[in-house]
Amino acid sequence: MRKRNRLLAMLLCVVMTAVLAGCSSTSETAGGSGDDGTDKAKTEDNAGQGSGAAASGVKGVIDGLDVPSLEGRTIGVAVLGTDHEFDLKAYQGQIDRIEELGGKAVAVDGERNDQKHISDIENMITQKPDAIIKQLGDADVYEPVMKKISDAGIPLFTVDLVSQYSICNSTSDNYLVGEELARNMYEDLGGKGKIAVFNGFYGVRVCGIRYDMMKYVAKDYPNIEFIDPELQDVITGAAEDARKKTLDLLTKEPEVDAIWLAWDTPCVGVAQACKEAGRDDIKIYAVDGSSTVLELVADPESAMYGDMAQNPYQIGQAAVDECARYLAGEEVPSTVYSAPVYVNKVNWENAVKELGLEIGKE
Amino acid sequence: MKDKQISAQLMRSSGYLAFLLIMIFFTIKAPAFLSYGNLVNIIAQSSVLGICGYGLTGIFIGGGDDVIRGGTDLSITLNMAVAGSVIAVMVSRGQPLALAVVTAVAASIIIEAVNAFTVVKLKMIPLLSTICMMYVLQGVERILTNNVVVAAAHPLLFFIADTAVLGVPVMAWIFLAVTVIMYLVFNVCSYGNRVSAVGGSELAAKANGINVPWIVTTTYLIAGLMAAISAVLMVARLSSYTPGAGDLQLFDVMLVSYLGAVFSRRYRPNIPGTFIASLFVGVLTNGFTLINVPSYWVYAIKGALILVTVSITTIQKRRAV
Repeated sequence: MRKRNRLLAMLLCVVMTAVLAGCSSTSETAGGSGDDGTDKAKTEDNAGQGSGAAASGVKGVIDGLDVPSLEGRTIGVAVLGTDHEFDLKAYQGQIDRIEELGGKAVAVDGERNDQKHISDIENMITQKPDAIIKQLGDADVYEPVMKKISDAGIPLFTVDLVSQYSICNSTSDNYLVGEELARNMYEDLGGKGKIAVFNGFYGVRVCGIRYDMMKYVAKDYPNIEFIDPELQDVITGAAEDARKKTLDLLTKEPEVDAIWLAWDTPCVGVAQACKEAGRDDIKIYAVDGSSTVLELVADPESAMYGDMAQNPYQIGQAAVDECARYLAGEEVPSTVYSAPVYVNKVNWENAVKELGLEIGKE
Repeated sequence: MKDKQISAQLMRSSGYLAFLLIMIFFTIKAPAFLSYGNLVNIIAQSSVLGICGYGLTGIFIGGGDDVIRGGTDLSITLNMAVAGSVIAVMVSRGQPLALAVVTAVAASIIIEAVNAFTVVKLKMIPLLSTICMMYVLQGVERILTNNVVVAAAHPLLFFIADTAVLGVPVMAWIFLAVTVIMYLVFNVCSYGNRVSAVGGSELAAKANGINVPWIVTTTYLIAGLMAAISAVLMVARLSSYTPGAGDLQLFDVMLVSYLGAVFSRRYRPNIPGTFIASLFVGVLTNGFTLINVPSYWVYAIKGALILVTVSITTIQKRRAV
């Protein structure tokens, strides 16, 4: 029995040591300077009063103008999640850009858990980075913690998140996204038809804008009807949930001509449901430009018809560009826009080329 | 003999040793870790988890530690979620916050009363009956919120989430106050002795004239109250209610309630142990963020901790028998 006790005590020590050793090595690889991030050459420049940083030789992804170096700077990157293609690409765009500009990235992934993510950001504030970039989230939920960032004197930049505390928000022009998608949808329907709408995330500002623009443009199409009640899409298991809801919808309301979504992760499920129901006459419209969904657009058998493709990687890079300029004392706009590209069954070959993607029919 | 004593002492202190080791590690790697602001921040961040964990700990104490037939409540975080959604929905519709909180407390206690009924009267295995309740509550939460974020802007909620009194966040004060009360209830009052007696041996407790069904029922009702209090803090922290918040926390709440056993001489779930365990989990999450380690590591560590905890407590109990 004594032996067993000793073994267990040893096991505990080994587990803890291994874990801590593993963490040490991870933390060293995570950052360029190998310190804890609570350091040095920052503070006085945080309010955008920097004395000007050295040129990095890198040109801005949106405007093609010089971007200052981030040498010696630590930038916090707080992302709500990395499980969706948009999230991951925008996140990667930020991390790559920070490193390209010579800075050190400190990242936290909220894993789509708001409580966890708020704690992550609070912990990040303790590290006192030179700036924090917050990606996505519900404005109501994150407003208090963004105020905390601002109160701590840390410049806040956002990706796809409008906030009074954000110095600059990098995003697609969601007014244009909503308008162009809606106009194409109504025109494709000949100005007449019934549309089912997934509207689960109106509180996410970018989704709200797309939805409002879709309804605004509809005022010019009096023969367009919207099916009531609207459908509610979800985050977890979005595609499967949307598949079931679409099947139920088509049973209850067979006269559907089009289905509209504010993002495209659920579209795989919606398109599958239309196929199962034998309704390839329905046209599905969404936003984001995920590679899986663009492949559906390219597939002539799929009901997925039009997708407003964003450029999340560029959106992430642009947020870092503005952050670097601000820290160097330059003036930055309150919003920087990345141009979306409309992809449909007619133009998909040229459109994906424009996006720099490779989508095949196979 | 001396070896045996040292070994036993080492085992008894293993939880504290691990905690100490981790604190030292984070202090060395991240000087900001030991700052006053960061430490009170950890207490505030641990409050929702800890208070909900107290509810489950009480059920563990009163229901015994048999993994299959012992006391448990897998619906407790969904109970918290329903209470949170009740508060957010009522506040967003202009109802007074006090009325919303009272309604949430009543709802949470009724939910646990149903759990207690299925366990005590219907003699269902708690593991199964509370799983059923978990699914019921998942549906209720989605119906109440329509599966969308419900904003709950109220000055008092903002005060709870974002104000410090005497340099300590209000959330931390509430956590500490609830900790003291729960400690008094389960470790000082005679009620706590009766709960422990029921959990230790139902037959012996009956023989001593303890009303076993009533005692078990009260542990569930107290858990309901804890779920409602943690819901208030959760809604204040999020300044809203986000659907699915309850689904994500069940295993963390179970972890701190089980892990509390390591911080006890008798290797049984207990209130002070749960308090320390919730801080332990808070320290892990906070510390790893400060040293820029991906949060995925925290999952691996939590898993390792549960494994070690269960191993230690199982061996020690077997030894005691």
